[in-house]
Amino acid sequence: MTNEQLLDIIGEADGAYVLGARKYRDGIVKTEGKRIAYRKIWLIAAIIALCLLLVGCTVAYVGGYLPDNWFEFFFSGRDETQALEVISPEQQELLEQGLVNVGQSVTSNGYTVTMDYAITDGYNAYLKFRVDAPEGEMLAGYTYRFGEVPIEILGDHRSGGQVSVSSAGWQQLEDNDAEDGSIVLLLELSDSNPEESTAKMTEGTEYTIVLNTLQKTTYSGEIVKTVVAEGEWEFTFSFDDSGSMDGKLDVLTVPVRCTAHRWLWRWYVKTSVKVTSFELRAMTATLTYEEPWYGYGTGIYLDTIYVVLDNGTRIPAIRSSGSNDMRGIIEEIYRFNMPISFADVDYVAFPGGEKVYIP
Amino acid sequence: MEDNQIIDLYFARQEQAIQETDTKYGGYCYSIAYNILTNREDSEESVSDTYMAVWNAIPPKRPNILASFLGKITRHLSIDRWRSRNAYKRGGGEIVLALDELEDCVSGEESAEIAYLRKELAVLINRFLETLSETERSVFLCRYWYMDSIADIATDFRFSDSKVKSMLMRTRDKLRRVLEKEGYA
Repeated sequence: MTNEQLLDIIGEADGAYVLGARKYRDGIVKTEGKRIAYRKIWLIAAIIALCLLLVGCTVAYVGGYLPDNWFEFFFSGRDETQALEVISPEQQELLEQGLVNVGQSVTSNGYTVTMDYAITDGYNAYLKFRVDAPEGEMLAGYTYRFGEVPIEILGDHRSGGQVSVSSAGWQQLEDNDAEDGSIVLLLELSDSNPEESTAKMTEGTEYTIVLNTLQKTTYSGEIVKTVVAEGEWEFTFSFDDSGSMDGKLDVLTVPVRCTAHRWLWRWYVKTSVKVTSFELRAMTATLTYEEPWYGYGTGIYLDTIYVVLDNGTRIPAIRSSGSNDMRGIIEEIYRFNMPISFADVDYVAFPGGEKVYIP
Repeated sequence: MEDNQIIDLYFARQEQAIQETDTKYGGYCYSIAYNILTNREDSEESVSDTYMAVWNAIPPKRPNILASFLGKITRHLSIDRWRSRNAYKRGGGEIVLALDELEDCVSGEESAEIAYLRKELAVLINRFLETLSETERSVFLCRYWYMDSIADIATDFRFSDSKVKSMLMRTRDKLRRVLEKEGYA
């Protein structure tokens, strides 16, 4: 056998293993790194204890407020530069202010699911769940998910159907300790209705989420989804507009022409569109452009727009939905993989070369 | 968008499927291609070829894990592209170093039957990977599946370069023994 043949065979590695390695590459899983000698640990512990004695109550208060820095862990390194520590103090402050402490626990079939935190800018939301297995049961690895998640909208908006939310997917944040029975999962929700006139998540709308099936993906010759636990974990929550995450910033004062691609059967064809507005929010943006002569629905995709921060971080805008107002204006919602504090923004780079600086 | 929704778009022959794939996995595929090809233009073409291959494969195929399905196609197409490019121009990049390291595990003699034994070898390699600890397995795959550099792996795993190298050397040694035992080396 030659080395090239072996390289090809390695390409047949099971998908679950390949994805497992990817989590390290993406920084979702981190190893403990270099171990510290016990003597050093005792010395460090002594210094920490001394510091705690000195600052006592202040540390206790701040420490209680921050939820184990889960958002830093989740949002760091998600920009194009792939920097490991890119959350700025302003971004951190924004997240802390926008965080809603839900703190609801439901136990079903021995499994306790706690929805502890939620965060939204009105269009995109993240819900953090902790799952604790019954005593003696282990939850190990990173392939846990809940199955189909029905999301019900309660209250006044229910009949009008003004709020439309779709589940955008689960991610497992951590497996605190492979030897224990707890995992932390994050559910990303996005508002699938881009029209400005509709009610948004921040307007006090109540949502009910019912989780029914905890699954684990395993491999034994083929990928198998195993049901770990079935039950009914129901949570009702709402966001209010008291946080600072619902701020908006109109970036454009004059239209800009942006490069785009139009998907024609099997090929992308270069084109351009006239973008008339770009409203930036903490985790999403709304963009409008004039409908080109060949019409909407012909597969037009703008090239990537980047929000560039003062520290050089380039955050790509990812298209989540679009709609046509039938009056020649196309409206699209974009989301960001990390929160944006307007104070950090240097400029928005539109495809085609136009840079709009934020004062 | 959930993977299932993207796959449904492919089944519905909606061209938006490509865009959604690109949005969610474009960077992932590009990083695999770039590690092999070390050239922006070639990598972009390789990613485009991947989308085309996926468009042609789904339906009828319904991949269980879309990310690994895409990654595998990108890796395969990128290695093919690298081979055809290197037929007339020797190139560098991590793939050359990775191949150099993998020489430890094999005899180096071309074996025509390998192509016919691919399924058996795939089972063998997965059995071997199963015997490794999660960290060893992930380091091995980052190096020889994703073709990440030693320095990048050291950063991702928060290990020193020398620790990564020695871990890889031990794993290659284990693999060599497995291949020898099964008569494939």
